[in-house]
Amino acid sequence: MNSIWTRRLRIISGLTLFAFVVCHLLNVSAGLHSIEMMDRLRPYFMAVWTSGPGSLVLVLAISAHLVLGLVAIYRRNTLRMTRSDIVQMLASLAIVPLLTPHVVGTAIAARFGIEPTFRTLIPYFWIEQPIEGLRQVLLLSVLWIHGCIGVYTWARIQRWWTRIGGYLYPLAVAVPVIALLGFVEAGNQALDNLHSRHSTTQAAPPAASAAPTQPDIEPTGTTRTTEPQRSVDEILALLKQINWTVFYVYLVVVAATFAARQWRLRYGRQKARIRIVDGPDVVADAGLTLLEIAHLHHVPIANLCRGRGRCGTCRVSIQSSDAPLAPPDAMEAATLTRLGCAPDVRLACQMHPPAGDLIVKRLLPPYLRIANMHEQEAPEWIESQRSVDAA
Amino acid sequence: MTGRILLLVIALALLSAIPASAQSQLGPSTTGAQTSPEGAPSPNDVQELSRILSDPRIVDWLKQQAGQQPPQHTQDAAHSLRSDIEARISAARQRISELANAWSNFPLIPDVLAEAWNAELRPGDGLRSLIYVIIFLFVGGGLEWLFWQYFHPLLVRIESLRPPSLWRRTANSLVRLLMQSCALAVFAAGSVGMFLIFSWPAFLERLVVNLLIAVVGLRALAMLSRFVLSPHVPQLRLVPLSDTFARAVHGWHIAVASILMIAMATTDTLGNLAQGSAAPDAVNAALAVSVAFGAITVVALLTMVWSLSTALVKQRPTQPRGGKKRLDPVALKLLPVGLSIVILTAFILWVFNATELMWTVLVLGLFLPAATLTRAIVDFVLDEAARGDQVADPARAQQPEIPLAADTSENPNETSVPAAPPIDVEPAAEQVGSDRDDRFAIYRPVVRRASRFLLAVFALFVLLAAWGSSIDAMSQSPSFLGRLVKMAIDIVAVLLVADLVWIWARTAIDLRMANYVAPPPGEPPGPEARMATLLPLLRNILLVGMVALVALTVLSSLGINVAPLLAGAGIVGVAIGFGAQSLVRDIVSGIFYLIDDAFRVGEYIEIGNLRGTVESMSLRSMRVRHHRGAVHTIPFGELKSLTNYSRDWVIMKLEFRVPFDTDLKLVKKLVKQVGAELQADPNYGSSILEPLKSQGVRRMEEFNMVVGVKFMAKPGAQWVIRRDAYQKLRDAFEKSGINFAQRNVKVEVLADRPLSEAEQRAVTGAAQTAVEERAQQPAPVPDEP
Repeated sequence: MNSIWTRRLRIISGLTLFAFVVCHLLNVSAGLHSIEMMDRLRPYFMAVWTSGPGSLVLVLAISAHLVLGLVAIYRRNTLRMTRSDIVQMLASLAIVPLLTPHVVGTAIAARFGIEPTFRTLIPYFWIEQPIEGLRQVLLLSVLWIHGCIGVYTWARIQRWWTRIGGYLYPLAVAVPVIALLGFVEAGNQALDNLHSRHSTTQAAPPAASAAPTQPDIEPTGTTRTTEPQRSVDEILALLKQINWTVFYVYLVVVAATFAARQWRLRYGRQKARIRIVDGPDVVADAGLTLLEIAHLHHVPIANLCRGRGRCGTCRVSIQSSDAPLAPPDAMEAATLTRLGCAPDVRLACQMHPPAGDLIVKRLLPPYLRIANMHEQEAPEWIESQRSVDAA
Repeated sequence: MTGRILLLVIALALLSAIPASAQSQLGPSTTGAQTSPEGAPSPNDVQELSRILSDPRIVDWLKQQAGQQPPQHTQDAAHSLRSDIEARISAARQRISELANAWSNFPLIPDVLAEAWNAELRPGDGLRSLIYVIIFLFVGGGLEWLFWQYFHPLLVRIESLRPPSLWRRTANSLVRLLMQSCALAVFAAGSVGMFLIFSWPAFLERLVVNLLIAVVGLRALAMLSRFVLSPHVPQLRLVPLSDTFARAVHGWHIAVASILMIAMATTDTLGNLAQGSAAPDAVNAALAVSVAFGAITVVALLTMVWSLSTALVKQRPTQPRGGKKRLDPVALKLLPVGLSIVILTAFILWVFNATELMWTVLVLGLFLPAATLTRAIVDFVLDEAARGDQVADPARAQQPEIPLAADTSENPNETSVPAAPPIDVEPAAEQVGSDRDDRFAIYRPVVRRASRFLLAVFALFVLLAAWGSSIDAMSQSPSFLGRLVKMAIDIVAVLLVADLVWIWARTAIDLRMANYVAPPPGEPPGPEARMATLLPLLRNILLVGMVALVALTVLSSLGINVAPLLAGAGIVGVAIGFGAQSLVRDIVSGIFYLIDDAFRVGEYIEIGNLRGTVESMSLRSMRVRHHRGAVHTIPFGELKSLTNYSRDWVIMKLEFRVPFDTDLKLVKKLVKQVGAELQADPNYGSSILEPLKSQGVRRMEEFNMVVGVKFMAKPGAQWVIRRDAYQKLRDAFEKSGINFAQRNVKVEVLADRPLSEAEQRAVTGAAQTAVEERAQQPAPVPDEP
C-alpha cells in the first residue's frame, strides 16, 4: 500500500477513535454530578456512535487502526525507540486486552437485553467486580496516553497548532482527570446507596449482602426482548469465555507480528559509519533510519512528527556518502518538494544510511520550537553554528 | 517501640548507679569522683544511701518517677559515661535476643499480612484504593506532562547548546536542575492533591503515603544523580567521566535508590502493620523483614561499589588527567575496601539499633571519598572553564581517549577522522587557555577549600542531628566530656573558617606575586613593583593577625579567660606605641606612599632639596642615590611632599640666540627637519613622544632674538635627545648660513677723522670691559645627571 495513504488512513482512523473516546469520557465526567445525570446525558454524547453508520465507522476505524499498528510494528527497524514511541507502542499493545471485556460486555449485554446503562454498570464496577473497575481506570489511562501522543504528534506540525496548541494542552490533562473523578464520584454514590440500603434493611438476612447487585440488574431485565432468557451468571460466563478467546487470539497475532519482524530482519547487517557535522561520529547497523540511529546514540535531531515523514524538520544535508543513497520514496519526495529543498537534502526519518561512510549535517536546530517550524531556517542555529566555526 | 527501649535504658542506668556508689565505699574510683563532685561523702552516708537504694520499694518508686519524667533522667544518666555504656551494652543484648526471635518469626509474615489485610479492609476496598492510586499517579503525571509541554523546548535547548563560559555552564546546569525539580514538584503537588481528595482506609493510607514518598524520593534522587552525572549531555557533566561510564554510574544509582526506597517503604508499612497487629510476634516478624531489606540494600550498595571501582580502575589508564589526579591506582584499589567496611559497619550498627553510631560511622567514613569527589568536581569544572569556549567540544576531545569497543574493532581510520578537528584547534586553545588559567587559578584553591568547608559543616550538622538531643544535653552538662565536646565543636569551627580565609588571602597574594616579573636591569619597574613590595608585608601581617585571632578564640573556647591577656597586650601595645611613635609613623606613611604609587624603585625624584634615583625601599625608609653618587636615606615619615621626574613624559625646552637678520621661516624648517632626524634615530627615536618643533621667537634681546624649541620625551631620555638636538641644529644652521648671535659691542665713534691705531685699541679696550662686566653675571648651572 502506498505509504502516504497508510499514513492518512492511520491518522483518520485514530482521530475518529479519539473523538469517540473524548465523547465517552465527557459523558463519564457527568458522574461528578450524579449517576442519573450520566445516564441523562448519554444520548447527547453517544447517539452518533451508537447509531448504525456510527457503529460501522467505529468498527472500521478500530480494525484499520489495529492492522496499521501491527504493520507499523512489523516495519520497525529497531525496538530501541524514543521514550514517547515506547510508551505509545506499549500502550497500544495493552489497549486490546484491557478494552475487550468492556466492549464485549456492553455488546453482549445489549444483545441479551440488559441495557448497559451507567446505573447498572457503575455499581458493577465499584461493588460487585472492583477488578473490572480497576481495568476501566487502567484502560482509560493507557488509551488516553496512546491517543494523546498520536494526536499531538500529528497536530503539532499543523499550521493552526501554533495558534491554539497552547490552549489545548490543559485539555489533554483535564478531560481524563475529570472523567476519572466523575467515575470515582459515581462509585462513591453507588457505595453510599448500598450502605443506606444496608442500614434500612439491617434486619435483612445476609443474602442481601452476598449478592448486592442482583436487585440492580433485575429491574433492567424488564426491557428484555424475545431472546431466550439467560441468567446473569450464564451471561458472565459467556463473557469470560469470549474475553479469553479474544485475548489469546490477540496474543498470537502480536507474537506473530514480532516474529515476522524478526524474520524480516534475520540477516546480519553491515555497519554504517555516520559522521554528524557538529556532533559525534556514530557507528550503527545499516538498515535503520538515520533518525533511529541518532536516537540510539543520543544525538538530538529535531523531529516534530516523530519520524513519520510529515514535518520535514529532521531534514539533513548529505555532505558525502560512500555508497549511493536510495532515492527518496513518494512520501519523502512529497515532503521535500513541499519544503522546496535542495537535491542533497533528505529526511533523517526516512533515509536509510547505507553501509559505509556518510557525512550529514543537521539543517534545523534540535531544540526547534513548534512556533518557528514553518520558517525555513532558525536564525539562532545559524548564529551558534557560526560562532562554533569561528572558534 | 523506641519508647519501651528508652524506658529500659533509663531503668538500667538507674540500677547501674547502685553498684557504682557501692564501689565508692571501697576506694575513690573515677566514676564515684565524677558523680559526687561536691566533696567526698562520709562512709556512713554512702552506706545509708545504698541501704535505701537496695529497698525494692524505693527502686520501684524510682522507676515510676523515671517513667513520668524521662527527659530529666536521661540528663542525669548522661552524667556517667559508664552507665551510658552499660545501657548501650544491655540494649544491644536485648536487640540480639529480639533479632534471634525475629528469625524464628520470619515465616509468620504472610499470616500477619493477611490478618491485617482482612481486619482492616472491607472487601473491595483494596481494589478501590488501587484505582485511587492509579488515578492520582495519572493526575500527577498528567500535570507534569503539561509542565513539560511548555518547558521542554527550553530544556532541549539547554542540553544541545554548548555553554561558552563557566558561568553559563553552571547556570545551564542549575536551570536544568530547577526545571526538573519544578516538574517533580508539579507531579508531587498533583498526586498529593488527589491523595487528599480521596478518603482512604486508615491502614492503606499509611501504605499509600509510603508509596508516594518512595516515588517522589526516588525521582528526586534520580534527578540529583542526573544533575551531577548528566549521562546523556556531556557538556553539562560535573565529573570527569566518559559517556558510557557516567551512564553506568547513573544506572547503578537508580537501581540502588529504588531498592532503598522500596526497602524503606516496606519496612515502615510492615512496622506500622505489626504495631497494630494482634499477633504477639508480629513486631519481631516486621523486624526480620526490615533487616532482610537492609541486607538487600547493603548487598546492592556493595555490588555497585565493587563493580564501579573495578570499571574505574580499568578505565583510568586511558584517561590521563595531567598531574592533578588525586585517585592513583592504589587509592582506587583501597577505595572499595574502605567503603565496604564503612557500609558493613554501618549496617551492623543499624541492626543493633545504634543509629547515632551508625550515622557517625557513615559520616566519618564517607567524608574522605566525598571530599575527594568534590575536589574532582571542582577541578573538572574549573578545567573545563579554563579551556573555555576555545575548544569546540570537550566531549569530542575526550572521545578518542575512550573509544567504544565497537569503534576500535570497526575501522582504524575512522577514529582518526574525529581526532583531526581538535588538533587544529588545540594550539590556539592552549595559548588562550594558559592565559585563562590564571583567571581561575585564584579561585581553584578557594573553591576547593570552600567546598570542603561546606562538606565539613554539612557532616557536622548530620552528626549533630544524629546525636540530636544527647549531644545538646552533653554540651549543656558540666561534665568534662560535655565540655570537651563543646570545645571541640568551637575549635573546629574557628579553625575551618580561619583556614578558609587564610587560603583565600594567600592564594590571591601568591598569585599576584607569581605574576610579578622583575624588570630587566636598566629599565624602570612598572606599577607591579609596588605590589611586590607591599604584598609579602600584607601576607605576613595577615598571617600574624589570623594566628593571633585563632589562638585567642581557641583559648577562650578552652575556657581560659583571655581578658587579662588582651589587657596586657593592650598595655604593652600602648607602651610600645608611644616609644615607637615615629617608627610606626614611618611604616604607616610608607604603606600609604606605596599605595599612592608616589614613587617606585629606579625613579628619579626630588624631596625637599634632595634629589636622586630611588634605589631601595625598606619597611621604614627609602634610599635615594644622588646622580653624583651620594646616598640619602629618608624615613617615610619625613616625607612631606615629593616630586617625581620619571613619570610618563617630560617636556624639554631649548633656546638659542640668532641675529635679527635671520630668516625665521628657514629656522622653522630646519628645526622641523632636525626633529624628523631625531625621531628616526634608532637609539632614542622611540622615546620621543612629540618631535622637536620650533616655538618661534620667544623674546627679543638687545643684540639678538631668542628662538625657542621644545620636544616631549619619555623621562630619562631627554638628556641624550637634548645633546643631539643642539648638535644637529648647530650643524644645520651652519650649513644654511645662519650664525648664532654672538655678543658684540658696537662702538660708534662720533669723530670727523679716522682713528689712529692706538685710539682704536683704546676704544676696543673700553668696550671690552663693558662687555665683560655684563658677562660677569653668573649663569645658573643646571644640576642634572
